Amino acid sequence: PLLVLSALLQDGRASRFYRGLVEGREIATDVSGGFNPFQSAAFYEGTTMFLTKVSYRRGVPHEKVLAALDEEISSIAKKGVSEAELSRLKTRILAALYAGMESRMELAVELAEATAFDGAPDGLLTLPARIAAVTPNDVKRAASWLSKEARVVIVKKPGEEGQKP
Amino acid sequence: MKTRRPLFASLASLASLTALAVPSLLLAEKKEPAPFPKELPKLAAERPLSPPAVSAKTLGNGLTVWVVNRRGVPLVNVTLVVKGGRTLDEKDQAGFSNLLAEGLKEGTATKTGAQIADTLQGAGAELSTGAGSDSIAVSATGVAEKLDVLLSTVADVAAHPAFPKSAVERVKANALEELATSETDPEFVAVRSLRRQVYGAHPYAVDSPTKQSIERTTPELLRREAARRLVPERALLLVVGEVEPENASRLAAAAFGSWARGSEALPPARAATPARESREALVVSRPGSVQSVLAFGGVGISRTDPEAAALEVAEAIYGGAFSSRLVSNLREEKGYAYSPYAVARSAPQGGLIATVAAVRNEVTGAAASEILYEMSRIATTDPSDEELERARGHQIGSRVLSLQSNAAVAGELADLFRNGLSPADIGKPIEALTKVTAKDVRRVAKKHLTPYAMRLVVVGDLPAVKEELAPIVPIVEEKVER
Repeated sequence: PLLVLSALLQDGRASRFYRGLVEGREIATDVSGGFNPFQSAAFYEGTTMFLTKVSYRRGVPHEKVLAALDEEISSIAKKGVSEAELSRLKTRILAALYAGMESRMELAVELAEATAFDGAPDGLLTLPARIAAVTPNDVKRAASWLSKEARVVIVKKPGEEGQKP
Repeated sequence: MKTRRPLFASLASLASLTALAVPSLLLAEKKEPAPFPKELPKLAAERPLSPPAVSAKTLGNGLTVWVVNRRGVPLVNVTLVVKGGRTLDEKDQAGFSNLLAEGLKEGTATKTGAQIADTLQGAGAELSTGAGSDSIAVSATGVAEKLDVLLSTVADVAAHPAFPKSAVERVKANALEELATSETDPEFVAVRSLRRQVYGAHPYAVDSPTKQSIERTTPELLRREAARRLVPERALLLVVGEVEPENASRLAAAAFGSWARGSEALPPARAATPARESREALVVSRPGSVQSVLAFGGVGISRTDPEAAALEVAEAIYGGAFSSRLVSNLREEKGYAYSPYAVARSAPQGGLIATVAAVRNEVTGAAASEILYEMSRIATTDPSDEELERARGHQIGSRVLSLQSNAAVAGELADLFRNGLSPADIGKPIEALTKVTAKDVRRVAKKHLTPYAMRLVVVGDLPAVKEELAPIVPIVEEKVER
């Protein structure tokens, strides 16, 4: 569900964060992120991380950006996601999964991570079925997990650091 | 429930793919592992790259179509590349093509940008557009079952872009934000100035828009230029992936057949020549900076130049590869710079040869002198056999490894088209690389990699840079024109 939620929130121009912050509110220039980006998304050990990166316009207070992100998340936690949107997202995730297997090296890494964290390379085979099984309710529930209490926010402002690299 | 079917179909092909890919060893019972060999096995001899089978067609409106059937993952890449990029931008509209490419995502005569994004998402894809110095490209990679959707969307974006006013205002505002962010990066500033120094009045001097050119961009200008430039007779459509060539050609003709021809011929190419002779180093002042960015650059060559392979090897030995002389010297031995690098990019009208290193203020002069030494050395002495072998192997290997994805194959075929070459030429660079000799390396370095062929731009604290570089080169300060 978190993989699907991440795609819903921040994968590309059809995502909620892009629609809401770059297009709708016009406060950000770009949004990106992922579920567990520093491990291998679906295959992991220990605590997982949900990462979002927003480049926002000068003059916009960062509190406003965070509030906008929260509005988008709570909209999903309340209203969920339609079957049609969920179906598009699943196709998108599957395509991204395949794209990550195009090179020998990447395929080898995927197989190794599935083996290391899931016990067998078969984990890679069952992942599409696990994604296909995600329901609108699962996504809704996952959105409620992104609570403010479990969050770390880092704000980087190049101007205030002056000229020194 | 139409979308369920592709999921299961894809699952089946994933199963067969993975079954092939998983070594039987992993699935077999546990055995005592064989002891790890003391020495690595010898590399096998290089094999020629077999060119992909390309089905080529030309539609009635002049659009060239190349279809490549590649088995592997159930994906397909659709790339439309149109000749003519930033070289066609007016002088006072520097980098306009970048905004044109970005604006293409914002909707067509019949669909908003958001509707396009949703449609492509349903095909597993994300729209990608980009401008280069010599072309503009529109592409998307999605699931093979949705090839028709990918083709019709890319066709719509290229043939009927709308550039709605509010979206153009947003694209401009974001471009200004990105420019401001980039300008805080001294390396961006150094390379931007270096291009102007190297290319002078040639349009290759510009690779990004300016504040002025962004502000001057209007929906009317975007529409007019899109209609003039995005025309089928200048374009190549690539379909690369798990496709049936006949079916793909039929779908391509259906999607692109009605795209109207343009009325202007592409202006002739103009070879870039080195800008005025000058031995001065240009300093872009960055007060208080604790580092200087040194950027050396000169005019390079195109991939059709008979010396292209030799230059590639020379550049790898000099500074392109991690095991190169530049990196060993500046990073490993002296510790002056963390990631110095050199590139020799090819481009149809003359590529860019550049060496860039960010160094501490107090070693700016020392680092510059080592870079000049390495340039002189590659141009005046033969490389060792070991260096030559390693560099050739590195370049050949990188070329093979870089062609593993559908999008990468499409990208390489697009570059062949931009340079007036054919798909059969895809294996030529590797063939040429196997024949490069030490003499070739020295000859080409003498022509293109000497200090004499370079301009120097330094971004840093002016007094500190002056202090350091005064013994080596005369210094002029850049007049800021932002």
